[in-house]
Amino acid sequence: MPTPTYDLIASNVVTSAVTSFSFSSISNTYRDLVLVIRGQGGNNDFYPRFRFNGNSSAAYFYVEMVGTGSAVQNFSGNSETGFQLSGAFATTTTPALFTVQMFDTNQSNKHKPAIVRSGRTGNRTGFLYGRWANTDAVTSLDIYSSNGGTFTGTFYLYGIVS
Amino acid sequence: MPIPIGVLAQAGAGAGVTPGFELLETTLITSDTASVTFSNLNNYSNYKHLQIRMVTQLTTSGSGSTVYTLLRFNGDSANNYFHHWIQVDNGSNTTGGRSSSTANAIYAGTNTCIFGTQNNNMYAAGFIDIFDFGVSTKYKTIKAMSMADQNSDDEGDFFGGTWMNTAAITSISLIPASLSFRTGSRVSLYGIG
Repeated sequence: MPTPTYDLIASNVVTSAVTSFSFSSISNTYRDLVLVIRGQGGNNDFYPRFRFNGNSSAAYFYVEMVGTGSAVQNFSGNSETGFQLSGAFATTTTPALFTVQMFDTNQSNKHKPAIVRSGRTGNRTGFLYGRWANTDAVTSLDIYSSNGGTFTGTFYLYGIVS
Repeated sequence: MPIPIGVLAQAGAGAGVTPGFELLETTLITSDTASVTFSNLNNYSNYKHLQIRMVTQLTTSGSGSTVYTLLRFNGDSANNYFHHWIQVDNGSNTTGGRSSSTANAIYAGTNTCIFGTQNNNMYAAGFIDIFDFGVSTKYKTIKAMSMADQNSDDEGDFFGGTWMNTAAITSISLIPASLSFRTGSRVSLYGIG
């Protein structure tokens, strides 16, 4: 018998600009997590940066490719303090959509892989592939802008059972 | 308070509501294995599409270069497949490519995470969407995103592929191009209404 499995864990609409947003007390019921954001810059462009469990140590690794409409760009980060989305960032006037797929987040014997798709009207699309070099199960997720700016948006966190 | 979407669908509509996104099967690999196969997919005819989500590591021995995971349908290993991809690595390279002609499988997964060559907590991950798998009037198409980050050998891929056969898909096999899936790997199959 199939198991219903793509559950909305939490959602929030942020209309007053903030410098960070968090999901906390994430249940270990779910093996994978999916985060969907429609974000927009407040006082500056919004370059989402993600962290797990409040961990700001140099434990994040990623590569990213971006299509601008006229060129292909790439970015990478080794031993960073978060997954840095450089491609399809949101501006103060144009929102962007970010979908973050996180795998085996409730496991305690694996580093945590993440795949991010992003897009913004105005010729921006991006794909980021990253790893959090930590075996802890994910219990919280922090989002902020790498330039320290404020942002607004809608935030949805889903859990997938396996 | 988690909101179970499947429950809402059942409660809200009664007959005629199609399933949303549901777990069909999971293979947790407890001993090294050369491939993973999901069979008897005709039993899932109430779903339109399938998604595979996988977290994998490969057995030791062999080179440390990328070993792609191959996708085959209905046991067909003839040259009836076509695929293409775009790729990024941490050497600041972004490239694309395609199978030069028909191939005997679709490239659908990235893996450089080979046990014993780097930190053994590193796993590759990805997901594969398979469209209209039960329809018998179309060639079958897939898209996939996957990644393997192993310190200096990071790679992410976006794949598209076609099985040039109109038969309904009744089995799916995932096969490392070399080596085997190692204990601790996981492959899950989901149905999408």
